[in-house]
Amino acid sequence: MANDPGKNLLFAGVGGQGVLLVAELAARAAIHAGFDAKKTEVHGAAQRGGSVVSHVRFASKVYSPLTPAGEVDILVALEKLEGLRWASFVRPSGLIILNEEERVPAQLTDKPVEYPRQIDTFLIGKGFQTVLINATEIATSLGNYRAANIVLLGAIADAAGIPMDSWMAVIRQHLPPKILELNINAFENGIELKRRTHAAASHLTDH
Amino acid sequence: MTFPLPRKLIESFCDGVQRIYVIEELEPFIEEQLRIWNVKNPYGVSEITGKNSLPNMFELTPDVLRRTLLHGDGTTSFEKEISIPPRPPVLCPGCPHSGVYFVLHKLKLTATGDIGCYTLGALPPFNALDTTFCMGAGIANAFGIEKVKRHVLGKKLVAVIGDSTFLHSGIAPLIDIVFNKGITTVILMDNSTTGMTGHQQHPGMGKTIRNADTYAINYEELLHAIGIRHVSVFDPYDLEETEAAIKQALALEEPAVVISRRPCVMLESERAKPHHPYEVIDELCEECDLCLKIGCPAIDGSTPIPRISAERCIGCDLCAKLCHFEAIKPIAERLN
Ligand code: SF4
Ligand code: SF4
Repeated sequence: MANDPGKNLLFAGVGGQGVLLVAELAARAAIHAGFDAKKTEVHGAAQRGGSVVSHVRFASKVYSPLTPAGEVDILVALEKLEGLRWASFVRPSGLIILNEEERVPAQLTDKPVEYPRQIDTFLIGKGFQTVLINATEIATSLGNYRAANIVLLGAIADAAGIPMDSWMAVIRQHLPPKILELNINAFENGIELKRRTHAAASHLTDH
Repeated sequence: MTFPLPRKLIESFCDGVQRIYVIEELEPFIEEQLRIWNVKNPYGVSEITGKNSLPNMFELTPDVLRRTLLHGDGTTSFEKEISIPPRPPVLCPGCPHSGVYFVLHKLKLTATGDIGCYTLGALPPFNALDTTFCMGAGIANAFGIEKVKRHVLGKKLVAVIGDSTFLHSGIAPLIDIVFNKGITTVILMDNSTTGMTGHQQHPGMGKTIRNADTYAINYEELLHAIGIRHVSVFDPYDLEETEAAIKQALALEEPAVVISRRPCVMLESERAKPHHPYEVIDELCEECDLCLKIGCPAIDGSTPIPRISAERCIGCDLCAKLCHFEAIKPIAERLN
């Protein structure tokens, strides 16, 4: 691991979606793979449906858990608008994995909230590698919509540069046996989906 | 944080550097200590960069440091190009507080709030709280307002406080009200836990922080002992009972405490119960949006006919109670 620059990851979503869990798994997977890793989170509102974000950084040596704006390599958004909210933290042409799920935020004023349309088009226009995944639907079809976060984690497994056996080891270690199989399924679905979209994208650029 | 600060360690560290920065959030605690010690480095520079450059509010993120200390560029948010609505925290689907706040809003009461999840009652659709200062202040604020404004407000004022906040710092101001002949009505929102910070045990729960059995304070006995004669209990899922209990207390010429009693929906014990989610029946819905007044995040009101998320609805029945057209029903009813 000498002088491995590692990756800066950012996980964003709505309280209750399981942002903190996937961030924890990613940090532990990095440590399992021999990296130094640090993590921090904003979760005062985690149970209350507000914006939640967690930074994970891993490299041969990490000094501080907060990634400065413009230096995140991979953003995982469990909800679309939260992806947009944190996209300015992603480095030029960085990777953004967007869950297709949309949750309209609660009103702060007497004016109804307008959910921004075409978030993915906007992000693609900004030059980010933007991958849209319907993780919530996939998780629902696998048996529990709550596993959407693990589908999305699977989608970054390759790009993060953490070996697959480290991912699997921490998933087995940290998820309760009752929901383990479902989550391994969800994780593998995520890996597959990302590989397929990747193949499709390179197919497009080939022509 | 270490206190007292390790003076030798800090001084020997400062001895080896060219310039001293103290980067700490909020007040200049470490910085002031360094100034008192008159810490210098070998270059004789005692000038410390601290709060003379750094803000004493908010988080000191890398971007803030870059902007203030390195005079670099700040974050380029996309907000100028595309609207990014904020996402405030909300009460959970089926939160017992929503029943109380719906009634406070309906009765157009002035309400002094306190610190907890229930502070969210200040936001739409409830707009129910008028003040929030610090723990215990809600009760004291209400009494203060009553003292100077009773002739204007009449009996349209209540204080709202959660169970753990009440035990922490709500008893003293309540004694003040009794002692000084107030007539304030206090709503004690007893959800059997410390909701906001993650379900820590408190002296009303019968469990220590290590989950061992211990004495659980009996609120009714406690209130009687400090001189509150009118204590009543209601279930916030029962909107009529809630309204009646609050009105009854307000009508009295003496201090009163009404206890809203129902456990937080996020407690493990509550989550383990079977939930029967509801749905909106399209043919019956008149698109009046009345159900949105309960502020439940399981209801998406952005479409003409509100949509209930079957995954998130816990079947508390509150929204169904608001619908005049019986358009909201348990999904199970249709399937049977
Ligand atoms: S209150 Fe009933 S009729 Fe009105 S919008 Fe809601 S479901 Fe439809
Ligand atoms: S019954 Fe209505 S108010 Fe209660 S949780 Fe379900 S959608 Fe929300």
